[in-house]
Amino acid sequence: MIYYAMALYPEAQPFIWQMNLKKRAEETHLQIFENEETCLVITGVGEVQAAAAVAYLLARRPPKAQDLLVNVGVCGSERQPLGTCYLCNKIVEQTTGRTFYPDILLRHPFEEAATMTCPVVAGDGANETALLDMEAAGIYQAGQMFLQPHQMAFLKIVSDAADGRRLSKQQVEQLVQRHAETIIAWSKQAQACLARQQAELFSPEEEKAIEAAAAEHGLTLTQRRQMQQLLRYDKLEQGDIGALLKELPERMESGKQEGKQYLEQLRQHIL
Amino acid sequence: MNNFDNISFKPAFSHIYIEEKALYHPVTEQILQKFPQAKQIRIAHYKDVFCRSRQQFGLQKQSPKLILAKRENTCIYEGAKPCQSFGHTHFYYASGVMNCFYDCEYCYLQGMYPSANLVVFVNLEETFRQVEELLQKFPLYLCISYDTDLLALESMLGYVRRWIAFAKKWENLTIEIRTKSANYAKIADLTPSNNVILAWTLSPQETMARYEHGTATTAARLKNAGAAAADGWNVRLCFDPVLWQKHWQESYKQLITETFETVSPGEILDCSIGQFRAAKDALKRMRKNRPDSALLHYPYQLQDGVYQYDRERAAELMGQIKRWVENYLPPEKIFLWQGEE
Ligand code: SF4
Repeated sequence: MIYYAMALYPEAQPFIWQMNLKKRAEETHLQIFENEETCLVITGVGEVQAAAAVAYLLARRPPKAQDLLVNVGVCGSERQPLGTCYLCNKIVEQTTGRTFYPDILLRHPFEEAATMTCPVVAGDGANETALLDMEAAGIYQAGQMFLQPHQMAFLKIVSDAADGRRLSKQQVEQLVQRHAETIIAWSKQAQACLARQQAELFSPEEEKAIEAAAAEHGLTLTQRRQMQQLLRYDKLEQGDIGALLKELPERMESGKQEGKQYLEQLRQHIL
Repeated sequence: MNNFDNISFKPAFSHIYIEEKALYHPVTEQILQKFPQAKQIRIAHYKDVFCRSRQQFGLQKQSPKLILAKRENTCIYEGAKPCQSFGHTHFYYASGVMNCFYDCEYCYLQGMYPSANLVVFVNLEETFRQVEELLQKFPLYLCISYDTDLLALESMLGYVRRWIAFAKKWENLTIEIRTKSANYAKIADLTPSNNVILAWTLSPQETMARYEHGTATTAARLKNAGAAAADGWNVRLCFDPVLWQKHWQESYKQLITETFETVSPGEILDCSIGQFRAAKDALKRMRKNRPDSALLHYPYQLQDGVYQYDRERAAELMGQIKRWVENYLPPEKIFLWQGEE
């Protein structure tokens, strides 16, 4: 699953449209759009709203180890060129001075920069970061309750010079639109790459067979753990445990055995 | 631009985090020059990055970052009990770099640190100062390549050269530099010192290829050890950890034969043999970080809070390897590490 978080509808619109996301009518507190592998929330503006919305979303749909949270939004910058999309490698929370560092482990096509999350975006020429935004620090803090630092990506598109000038909805939409396709394609591949890294060891059939063998031999909870450990080792070493699970009962002297005896035979067979 | 089908991990040290205090240190400048493409990110304290919660050690290992910091507190630690003191009374280790460029599946660091990123303390001079303080009190046996492989980082850091130069000034200091690299050439121009031990960890080639990712081949390490011994350095050989696997007899017998064909037994200072061992909680963390490692998921037995092979298997492994090594070295040159000592 890829979770997207955008503060405003115009920032989300290109994504909703391109991925053909459907609004969840039953969600009354927040606007949530989804398809099978994507879930997008419109958080509202500012750190607190953004944190609350992301926490709500992730608590309702707990993420897995291969899932990704992507925050996309416009930001201000006194120095960086308008329209450029940055992946944030550092987030400073202006109100507290706290810093957050998403892990950037995978290759990506974006520029990188640090952002400062402020209650009001107004450049004074002396900011320590290149970008100024209003949500990233809140989203990071909510996200880290559910996710690891490499599972969060913060993409900020420079929309103004942090001078308080407001863009129209259409202008924001157009700016985001220019990067949406790239962001979607990259996020999908990044998530697929993480999924490849964290693939489950046992197939559902193997899980079932293990469960059945454990039940048949009346294994206690501790014995089940020991059995899992032995089989995990065997699978990693041999690549397959199907034959072992099938053959072992036939090789045993009596069909039904005490858990302890069964485990011992399994151990001897594997080691 | 939109084709990310082959999305892969960023290269090592794609990002360098730099403590503000370390910004203008010459070592920082020297390192940054070596990585002109790296993104530089300023940080207040190395722990802000290194100690973040919920980091994924296993994934970070595929794209480790560099953190440059200044050590302001203790840099020298007394060696823990199960560690190898080689009969020295005052056994200490220096922690100038945290984490390793290599990626051995059995490495205890993955059960010890919250992050796989490397922290380099750029102010080695502070470590030297603390060592000097201790040397005023007693002679010191100091492992300087302890929570890392320092010789592997020599092109980047040059710390091994600096340590050897430092040791030359202190007769009551003995330093051990342990490595799985083949970087002897980086220090081969130095005059050998009596109080410096160059130690190579050795494993059968198939063990190296399967479990010691990124390290030098067994043949290359042996060639290095042989060259260093022939040049007159104190050379220690470490068969540690000894790992059980199918056909271990053939692999270890071949390794030991090859070792003593390449490195003259008469030129070796000593040799250590140690079995795989991991503290209970550490192994739990290591397994979590490496769910795909057969080596870590072997059903070890818990004895006195330490996971290891069952007694019978350990005795067989260690006993046999010791007997083979005894064909080349006298018993007083062989140190055994079996479980808790
Ligand atoms: S060389 Fe040593 S410190 Fe480095 S990864 Fe291997 S075991 Fe760990």
